[in-house]
Amino acid sequence: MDTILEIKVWGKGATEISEEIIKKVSYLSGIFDDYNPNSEVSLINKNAGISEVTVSEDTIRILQLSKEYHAITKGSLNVMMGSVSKIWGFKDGNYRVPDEDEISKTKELINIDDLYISGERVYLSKKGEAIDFGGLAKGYALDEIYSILAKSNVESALINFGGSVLTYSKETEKKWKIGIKHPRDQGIIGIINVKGNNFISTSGDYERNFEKSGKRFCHIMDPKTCSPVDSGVIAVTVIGKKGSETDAFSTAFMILSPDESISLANNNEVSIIGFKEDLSLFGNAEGISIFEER
Amino acid sequence: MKKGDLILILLILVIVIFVFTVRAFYKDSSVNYIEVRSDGKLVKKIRLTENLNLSLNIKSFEGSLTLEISDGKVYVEGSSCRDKLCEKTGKISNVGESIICLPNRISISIVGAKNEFDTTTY
Repeated sequence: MDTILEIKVWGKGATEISEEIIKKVSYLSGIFDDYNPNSEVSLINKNAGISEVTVSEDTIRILQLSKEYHAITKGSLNVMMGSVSKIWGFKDGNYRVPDEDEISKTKELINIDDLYISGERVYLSKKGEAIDFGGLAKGYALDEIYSILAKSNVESALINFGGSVLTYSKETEKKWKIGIKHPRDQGIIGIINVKGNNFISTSGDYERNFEKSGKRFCHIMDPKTCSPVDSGVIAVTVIGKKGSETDAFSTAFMILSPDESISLANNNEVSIIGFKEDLSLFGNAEGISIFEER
Repeated sequence: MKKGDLILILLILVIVIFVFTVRAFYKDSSVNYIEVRSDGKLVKKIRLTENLNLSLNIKSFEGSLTLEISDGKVYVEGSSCRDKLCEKTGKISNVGESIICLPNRISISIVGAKNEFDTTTY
């Protein structure tokens, strides 16, 4: 995973814990990264429609979570979007707008039911199908980091993994202030005030994108259209108690309408703060109550 | 050279290094704010951007002044004070810089957002 990992740990054994975190994240990056031709994900993708592949426990767990979140988000979080990202050039950086024919062909390659998991073996049933953990890997890694911290004696920790944040504190009242990057400018658009342990994930159309004929195409793909999202939502931040969940929801909430996202957030007890194209704010009561605009 | 001179030179060096470190640190922060205090109270906090053009009238118990913000710079256009030191300070644009109008008990400073929060989600 080509991103920055920022670790701040306070308390006894901070150095050892930091090292353990780096080790775990390096390991997960090695197996989840579809840009790395030797990763487990690449192995699964290369063998799509050919044969099943034996993978590690972590890969099995994240794949199972992928299926769960696919169901919860009504198909918006779909790890089978690898082939779609590829035709838009997000895999090799040669960005382009594919023609209708190409797009409709990839629509046949994103069915999550084509992903078979049995014990420690994984199989993609059609050639060309490809898994991409983009919307889930950082959150999964933060969950693993949380487990490491919870078993330790450290007092508190702040982890920022490529923009996804974990605040950890033994003291439940410890306050944290987390800035939300401004989607259309430098700096932040506001601050969220949280206490104790939290996972905070943000998705935005500003992260990786390209422009063609005055239109912005971002890296988040809508499974319905097999094209970059065009929901009018430009950034979403989700705050919750599980990293994989907030990560999955932040991606899904870029795709769903604000109303659908708010009701899904309420049903799953996560906070949501989002921004539309005109920078107007939306969110559920929990999200709005902890947000401070700048 | 006396021992005292050496200590003085070292001290100045340390201060210079410190100032440069602080400046380098503040250069990192991408968002700056203008904080305006009148009679010791924060009366305005505005995000300083390149394209912000604003004229503000700041009042205090002692008097008032007109603050101009344009092209990412802040300056006092006119003040009711006698010494006009605030006007003479000129334009400020970097974190840590201030314009202080003592007679009017008004201060204008540029602060960074860096320490305002723990980290940024994106």
